[in-house]
Amino acid sequence: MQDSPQEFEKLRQLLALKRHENPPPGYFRDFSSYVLNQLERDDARASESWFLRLVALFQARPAISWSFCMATGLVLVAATTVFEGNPGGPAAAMPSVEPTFASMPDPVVPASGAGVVFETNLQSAGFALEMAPARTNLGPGDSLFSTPLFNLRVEPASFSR
Amino acid sequence: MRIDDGTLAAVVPQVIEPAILPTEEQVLVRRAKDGELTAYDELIQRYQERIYATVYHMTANHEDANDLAQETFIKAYKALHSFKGDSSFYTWIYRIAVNKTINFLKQRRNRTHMSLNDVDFNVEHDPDMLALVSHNTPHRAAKLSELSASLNAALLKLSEVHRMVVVLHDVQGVPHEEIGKLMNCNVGTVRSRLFYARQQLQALLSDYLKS
Repeated sequence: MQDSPQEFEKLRQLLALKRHENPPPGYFRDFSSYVLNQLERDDARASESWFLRLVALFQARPAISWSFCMATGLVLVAATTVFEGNPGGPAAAMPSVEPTFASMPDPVVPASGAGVVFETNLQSAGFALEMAPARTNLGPGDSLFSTPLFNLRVEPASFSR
Repeated sequence: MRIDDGTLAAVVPQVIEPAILPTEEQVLVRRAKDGELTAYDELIQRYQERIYATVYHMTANHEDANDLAQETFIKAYKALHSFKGDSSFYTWIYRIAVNKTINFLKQRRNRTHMSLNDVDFNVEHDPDMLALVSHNTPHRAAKLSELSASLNAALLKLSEVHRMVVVLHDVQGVPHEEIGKLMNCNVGTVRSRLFYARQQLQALLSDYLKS
C-alpha cells in the first residue's frame, strides 16, 4: 500500500488550496486574550460560594432548576402524605411515651384515705413522697376534667382609670 | 509568531520543526505550571495557528474551530500539572486538539454545516492553484470558492480518522511518524489510512481532477 506521489499529484495540488483558507483578519491577534480571559473567569467562578454557583447553574440550565423544584415539591408532598396518614397527626407519628409511664409503679392508696402515696425507689432509702389531700377537693376517683372543680369568676378587663 | 505572507501555508514547515528550543519551551511550561499566565500566553501564541488550522480543516467551520481551539488551550492549561514532559509540549497539546476534535465530530456526526474561511489572495501566486484554475477563466474567484466548497464537502464525507490523516499529512505537512504519535497508532496504520482517504477523495473530486 504505497502512497506514491505521482498517483495523487493532482489531488495533492487540490488539497493545497485549503492552506489558503484563512480566518478573519486580526483573529489570531485576539485569540490568546480570549483564552486567558476565559481562564481568569473560570478561576473567579471557582472561588465563588457554593450558593452563587448553584444560582448560576440554575440560570444557565433551566432544566436543572425545574428538576430541583420538582424534587423539592415531591419531597413536600410525600412528607404531607405521611403525616396525614396518621390520624393523630405529627404527635402520633412520634414514638409513644406510654412505656415510660408504664414502667412507673402504681400509686398506693392508703386505707385511711389521707392521700396518695407514690412509691419510688427513694423508699429504699427511707423516704416516701406523700401528696397532701387538703389542698383540693380531688378524691382518689375524681378526674380533673370530668367535673368543674373551680368556679372562677370572669370579669372583663378594663384599661380605663 | 505572525506569518510573513499571512497564510496558514507558511505554518506547515514549522509543524515539523518547532521554532523554539525544547529548553525554552520547558521553561515556559514550568512558568505556566506555576500559574504565570504571561508564560502561557506566549505558548498560546506559538501554537495557536497550527492548532486552529488543524481543527478548522477537520470541521470546515470557523465557529466550531474557534470554540475547539480555545477549549484545547483551556483544557491544556488546567491539565498542565499532569504534563510530565515525556513528549514536547507541542505534541502534547496537539494530541489534546486531535482527540477533542475527533470526539466533537463523532457527537455531531449527522449535523454538518460548513462555515468556510475566505481563500486569501496569495492563492493567485500558488503554482498548484495555477495548474488547477486557468488564468483565463473570467470568474476565477467564484471558481475558487466553488472549488473550496467542493473540496471541504468531499473531506467531510471521510471518516474522522481518515480526514485527520489527510489534513495532517497533505494539508499541514506533518510526517507519518508524528501523525502516528498524535493519533496513537503505528506508521503502517497511518499510511494505509492515508491511501484509503486519498482514493476516496479522488473518486469524490474526479470532476476537478481530470487533466
